[in-house]
Amino acid sequence: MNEQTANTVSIRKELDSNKILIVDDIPMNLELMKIMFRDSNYELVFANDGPEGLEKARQESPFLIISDIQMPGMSGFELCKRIKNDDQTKDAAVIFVTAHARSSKQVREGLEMGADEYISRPFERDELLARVNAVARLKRAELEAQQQAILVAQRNKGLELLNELAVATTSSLDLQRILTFSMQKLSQIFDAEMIVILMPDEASQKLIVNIASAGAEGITIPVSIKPGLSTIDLARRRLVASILARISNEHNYPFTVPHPDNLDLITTIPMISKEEAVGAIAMIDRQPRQFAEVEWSQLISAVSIITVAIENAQLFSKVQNFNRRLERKVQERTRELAEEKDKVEAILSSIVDGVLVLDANKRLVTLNNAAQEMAGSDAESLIGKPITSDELASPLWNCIRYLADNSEKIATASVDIPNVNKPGGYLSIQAHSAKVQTETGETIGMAIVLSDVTAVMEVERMKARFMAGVTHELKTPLAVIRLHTNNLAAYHDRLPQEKREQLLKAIQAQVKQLTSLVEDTLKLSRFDAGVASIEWQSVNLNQLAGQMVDEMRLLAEEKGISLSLSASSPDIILNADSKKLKWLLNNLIDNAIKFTPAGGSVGVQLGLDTAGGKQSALIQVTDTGIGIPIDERERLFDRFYRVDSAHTIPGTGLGLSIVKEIVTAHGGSISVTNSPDGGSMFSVSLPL
Amino acid sequence: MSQSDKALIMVIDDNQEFLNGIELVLEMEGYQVWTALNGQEALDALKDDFAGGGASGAKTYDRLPDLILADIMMPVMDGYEFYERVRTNPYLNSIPFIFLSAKSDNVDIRYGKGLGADDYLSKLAEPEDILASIQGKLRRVDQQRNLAAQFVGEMGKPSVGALVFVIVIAVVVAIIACGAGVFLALNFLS
Repeated sequence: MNEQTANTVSIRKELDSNKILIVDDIPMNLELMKIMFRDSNYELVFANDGPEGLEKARQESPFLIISDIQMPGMSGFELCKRIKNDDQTKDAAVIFVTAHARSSKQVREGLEMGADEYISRPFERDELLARVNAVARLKRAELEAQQQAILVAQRNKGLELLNELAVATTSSLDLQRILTFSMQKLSQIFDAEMIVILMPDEASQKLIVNIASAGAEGITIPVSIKPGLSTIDLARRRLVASILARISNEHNYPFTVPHPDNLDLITTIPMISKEEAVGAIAMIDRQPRQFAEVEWSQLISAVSIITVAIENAQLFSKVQNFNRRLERKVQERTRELAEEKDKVEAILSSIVDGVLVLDANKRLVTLNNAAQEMAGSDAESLIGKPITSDELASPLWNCIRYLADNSEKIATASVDIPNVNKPGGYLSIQAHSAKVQTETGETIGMAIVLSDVTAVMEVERMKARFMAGVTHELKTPLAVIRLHTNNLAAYHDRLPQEKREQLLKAIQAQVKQLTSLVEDTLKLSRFDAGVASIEWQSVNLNQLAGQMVDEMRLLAEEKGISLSLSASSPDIILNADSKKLKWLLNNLIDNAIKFTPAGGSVGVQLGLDTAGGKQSALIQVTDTGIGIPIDERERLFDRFYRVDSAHTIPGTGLGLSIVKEIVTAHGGSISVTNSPDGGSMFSVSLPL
Repeated sequence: MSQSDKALIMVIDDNQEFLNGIELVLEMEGYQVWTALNGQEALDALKDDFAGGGASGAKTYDRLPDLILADIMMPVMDGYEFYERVRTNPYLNSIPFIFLSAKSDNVDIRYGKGLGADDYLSKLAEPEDILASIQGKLRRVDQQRNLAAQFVGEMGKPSVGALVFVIVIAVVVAIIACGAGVFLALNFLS
């Protein structure tokens, strides 16, 4: 492609406008010509016949051929014909010389063949030189015109290619394509061996070197550059040379790279955009190049076209990147929003409380699973419905309507609704509403939270029952004390001494009962409030139980009951609160003594329990009392429950409740069964 | 005053010590006292003589109590149920019934009174107040008894006034009857 372009544009082998070829078969005539041109500036070449003349004409490129007509073999006419038909020689002028008188026919024949002049022998030297000079002048002008035409064609061709370059580079916004095409076209226009485009890349802090060579694919190589290199330095030929040398070393680049020293082979043009260098284009030639003015301006134009195209492409890719980033951001944001929505929905649906959202027109916007369950209908049939709708008639909806009509910003209401999961049961619902308002105070909706407070209410009821129980239990001894003191005061004189003492003893017993009740209530309420912290310490159970049994033996013996302790050795050591363990043992042994008639026995057994693979301490308290009916065993640990309903046996009714709390706090368990001796047996298992 | 002349009060409470105390007060104030630990026990004791056949071995009484003083919270049979049993028993339903309970909320009092009990007292009330209430109820019962007895006695031996009253009425009736007969006869004849 390159060569083809070169052929069409370049000049054929140039005629020598000083050289004259003389063809004659007679040597004397040739000598004569020598003499004739002796003092002229023309250089003479001689040929003895037509074929030799033709050959010399091709070799020497004379601008003028002076030929005899009549020659053996090839005539002058024939020679002229051949010369005019040969591309190499056709521009040369031809003058025929003949001894014959010129016939008009001969002259016409000669001129038709392209001859420029006709000279008859004999001729004068002056005449010959004048004619030759005229032809030479003519030929020179002709050659000059021809060269001008070639130059114009060349410039046109360049402009055409520049235009192509401009069209091609501006029609694409793909940087790589623009680079490839630019390099191709540049090397085509300027017939360069190699085109190099250097562009710094801000992001990677590297110099992007694009190289294209005639007949090979272009390549792009990022090269690290020393910091602080200004872009205008890129146009330094030495830099280009050293970069090329480096690439050639490191990358096995297949093209011939000019020696770095031979800077004449390198032409560089900075790529200027907005008065700032953005890169450089270098052209590498095989031979040092002399630029014609036209070529130089073409090169400048080409570079500026390429610069603009590259700038556009870079700008476009920036816009594209920005676009892509924006798109990614949008996608990310969309995904985040979707996730957020999923999250909110997941939270809403997993919330135990019912949540409803109303818009400004009191229409249901959304409600979660719990709210649907409480309302007894699914979301599809509810969403979008105004809550004023007659279809929504139930205590729950009445409550919600009440809140929606409330003018307060936040409000609370309570309602009991049937428990779907427990036929006949009720759920206590506490509903809280909060108006959703904009910054300007405009109400745009309302959120309502429905909390199932059944369990809370149950605890409240339990607390109230406990309080009522405590009050009741306090009132009874107080009433007794009041009666007895009144009796002592009012009927003192009429009562026998024995009766008075009996009343005083009874009062003392009631006071003791009151004291125990207050103490037990305090103990229990400390467990209830969660402030009865267990002070963990290493406790020798055998020692502790022995101590308790010794302390209580007197009490038992007073009632005629034998109290015994049996324990295995070695001593059982467990991690527990020794004070609370004492309460536990005290309560259990005291209970056993109370419910055992005289003559009976109470036994405490200590042992290890390995049931369930875990070792635990086992405390068993047995008595020979009346035992506890199976149906009462479950209620035995209830507060204020007493087997002895007539209160004939003193006690607060809280002792076993406290025992149970202590066992639970230690992570143990308690059970009651019949003892082999017919009484009852309390078994406490405590982890070691 | 012989034993049988004293008013008999039945006290029902599940707390033995309270029973002891109230029994002493009432005895000191001249009442005869029966006690029971719950409604069922009281009912059994009463049924034995007056409702035909009670629990064997239970205490028996030869008369009806003049007043019942009952606690509410008791095992086996509580005060409310016992009250209903008493009120639906024709032998017992006219006996004054007072609740004496540790439950002293307004709600409890209103409920107890709403049932128709004659009074509702707190166990913590002053003994004087309890006695006053008992005396008041018993006095009303006495008044009613006296009125009834008076009426029955008058019907047995009628006084002159009553006789005159009866004769005057009879004469008036006879005159009206005769008048009516003459009037009818005249009408008929004419």
